[in-house]
Amino acid sequence: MAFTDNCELYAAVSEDGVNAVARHIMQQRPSLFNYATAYIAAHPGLACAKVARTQDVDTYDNPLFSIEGPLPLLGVDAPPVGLNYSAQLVSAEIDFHPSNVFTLPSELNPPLPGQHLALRMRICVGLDCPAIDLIDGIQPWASSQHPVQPGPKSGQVGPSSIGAAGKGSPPIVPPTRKLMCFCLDAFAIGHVEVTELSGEPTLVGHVDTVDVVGVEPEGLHQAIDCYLRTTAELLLKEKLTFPVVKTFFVRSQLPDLAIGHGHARAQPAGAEQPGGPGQPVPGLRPNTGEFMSQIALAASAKAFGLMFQVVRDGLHLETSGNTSAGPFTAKWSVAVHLEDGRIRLTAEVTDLQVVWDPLDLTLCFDLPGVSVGGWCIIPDPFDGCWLSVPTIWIGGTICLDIDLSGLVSEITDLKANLVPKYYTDPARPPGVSDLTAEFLGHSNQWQVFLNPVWVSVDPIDVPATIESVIVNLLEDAIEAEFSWVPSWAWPYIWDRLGSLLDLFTSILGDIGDVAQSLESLLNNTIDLRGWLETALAHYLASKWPIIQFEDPHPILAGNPAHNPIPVKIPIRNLAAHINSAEMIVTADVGV
Amino acid sequence: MTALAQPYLFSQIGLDSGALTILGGIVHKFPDPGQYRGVVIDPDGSTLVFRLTVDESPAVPMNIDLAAVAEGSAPSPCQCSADHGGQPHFVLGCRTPLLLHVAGGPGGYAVHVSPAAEEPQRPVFDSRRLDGGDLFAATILRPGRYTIVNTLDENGTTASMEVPIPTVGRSARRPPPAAQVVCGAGGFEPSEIRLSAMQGCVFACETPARIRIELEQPYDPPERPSPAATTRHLRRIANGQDREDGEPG
Repeated sequence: MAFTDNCELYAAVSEDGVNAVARHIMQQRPSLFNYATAYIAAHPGLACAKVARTQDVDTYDNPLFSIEGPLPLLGVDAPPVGLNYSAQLVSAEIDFHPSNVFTLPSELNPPLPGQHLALRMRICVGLDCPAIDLIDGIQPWASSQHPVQPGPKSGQVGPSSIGAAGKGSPPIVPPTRKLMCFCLDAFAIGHVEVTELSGEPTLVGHVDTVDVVGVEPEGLHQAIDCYLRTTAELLLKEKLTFPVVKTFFVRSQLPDLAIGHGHARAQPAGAEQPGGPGQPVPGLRPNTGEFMSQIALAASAKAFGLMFQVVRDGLHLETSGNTSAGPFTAKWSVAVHLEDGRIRLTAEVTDLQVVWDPLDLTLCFDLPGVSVGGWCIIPDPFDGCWLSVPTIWIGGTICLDIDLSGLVSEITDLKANLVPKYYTDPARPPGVSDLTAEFLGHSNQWQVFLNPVWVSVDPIDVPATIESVIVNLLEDAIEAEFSWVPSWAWPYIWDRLGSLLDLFTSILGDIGDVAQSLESLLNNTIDLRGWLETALAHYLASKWPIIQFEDPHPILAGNPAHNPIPVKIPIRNLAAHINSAEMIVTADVGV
Repeated sequence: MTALAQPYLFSQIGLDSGALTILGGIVHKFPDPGQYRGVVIDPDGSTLVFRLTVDESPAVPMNIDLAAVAEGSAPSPCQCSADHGGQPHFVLGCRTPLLLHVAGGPGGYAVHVSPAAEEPQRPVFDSRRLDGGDLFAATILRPGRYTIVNTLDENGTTASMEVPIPTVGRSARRPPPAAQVVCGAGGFEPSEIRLSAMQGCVFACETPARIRIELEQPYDPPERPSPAATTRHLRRIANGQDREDGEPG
């Protein structure tokens, strides 16, 4: 069974990979996991737990806490008074089915059902207990300023209306010296679904049930469980969704590939996932606790072919040059692109056409000479000539601009293997973080190239119809060169030059006919074929990767003002290979 | 090769042995060894002197480009004397033919040669008066009918010459050997000359002569050969057809 037996693209993240990702999210976007009043946020040392975060969070002045209003004192509204507090998710750990990381409490009816995940969290809450002298300092309002409570028949839902004097008054929050902290261990069971959000298939987590350990009485226990489940369910839906394609793939590398809805599997990447007949996937292993790659991506033969099409369509190679080859000089300007072709899962490319467009060739040469005179005045007795009329040579250098654009060659043999490379932008300023480097446009990249081990291109084939083109070009050039010759004398010019085709082929070395002479010039003298083979190999091996993504790889977008900054996951140990069924890329989540 | 444009090649239609141009040449032999003084006279009458030494050296034909001498650019093959004042100096074996010709430019030169020591100078050769076996080599390019006149013949003897319109072949044609014409006391022999295109014509002067060849009736091609016409023509030839005029190739 292959990863892509039932799909074109496959992505899996192992349990420890997901946990590593979770840690990165918590450290790069702490405000998603830490909530407090403004006072506590301004004095984070008062919170129950130190907020772990990356240096970039401080560098870009991102908040550690989401600010919430103070906890109101019930019925106290003249004036309203609230208390400072904080609530922090201190740690979270995920355990996929089959559960093997932690033991679920009996309240959650273990074992963990299939296609589900378990979550163990530690939540620390702190609540201010204001000193009595601070309470005593709060002066109650006059009765005329008290808010008016709605009548029992109004049916209104919401806060009580406020009297004119107290309308809009913020609550009084006694200053906090220290929060009274407690921590709860909570377990949750959830699952993941692919849901259409904003037109994109998106991974969304769902919380099915929550159990907070050690809370009594049962009513309070159930109330807290329900509160946490509701909060987590909505929070995941609002703040922690992952578009499938953006998260795991690069859209530009997958043209015309319909990304449909699949079923997210809440199981480790290494479990029950063979790499194809006789070809185990490197770095992947059954869920036995041994080393395994944390991320596995797979592309079916069709998807692999489409990725190759992107590489093919992106190819534009060009060269120009000149050479002097005895009786002529040649100057050329050439560009090529590729058409057709398909790639097999052996990384063999077949039926790939090279279109030479443009293929501009300028040939300059001295006319072999139009001679007048040279005839014998006094013959010698030996059938030779003792004295001749001097020969008068006329002529000069002519140039032919030959447009061979549109010629097609076939790449007859192209075999490659996949080679991952890590690209460090040489323009990246030293000492900056990966995030800053990205903001400066100099992020590092992981790239997987089709590294050709063999490229063979058919020689350029020039059609025989080129003869008439060459004749016309020669005639035009010669007429321009001999523009001073009167009309009546033109037969002498043409006669002296003889067959223009013979003239042309003799200048090119008498290789054969005109087409053959040009083929020899292009394939051998200029060696465009050799250039293309080298340039194509270089292009595939180092210029245009079949897969490329930024490292660290963004999984949650930031905003343009960098508040919040994007959440990015460092990718390590990237490897890529192909087997008879698919292309597989594996990697780990870095620290 | 730099561009070699020779507009005079096709613009000078007639020939005059007494005023040499690019398509004419004179062959003369100096039978007596000695030092000679030559003068090149250009059409406006100005002159330039060259020195000629005739000795017993082996007979190797020599060419003198009158245009080069007139322009002062003729090479001097003899470095044996320093008292020639920079004049061109040529050394020629006696009985060796000397070809006087014009390699380029409008031409119109005459040449006068006399012994260097004599004063006044008695000419031993004057290109305006050929005689005694001097040869006048003429290349006639312009197709047409010509009249040939010996202007020194009081009888006004003439000859006619036909030059056909050339046709284009698959390869450059090789014209037949030059036509031989004797200019004697009785006139030109033959008196009717038909040349092939590019065929030379040699006049052997056995009587005092200054030969003028003048175009009487030009022959023009029906149309100037266009590239397309040439292509069609070459195609026909490539397909095995022979020259249209049936001339030897």
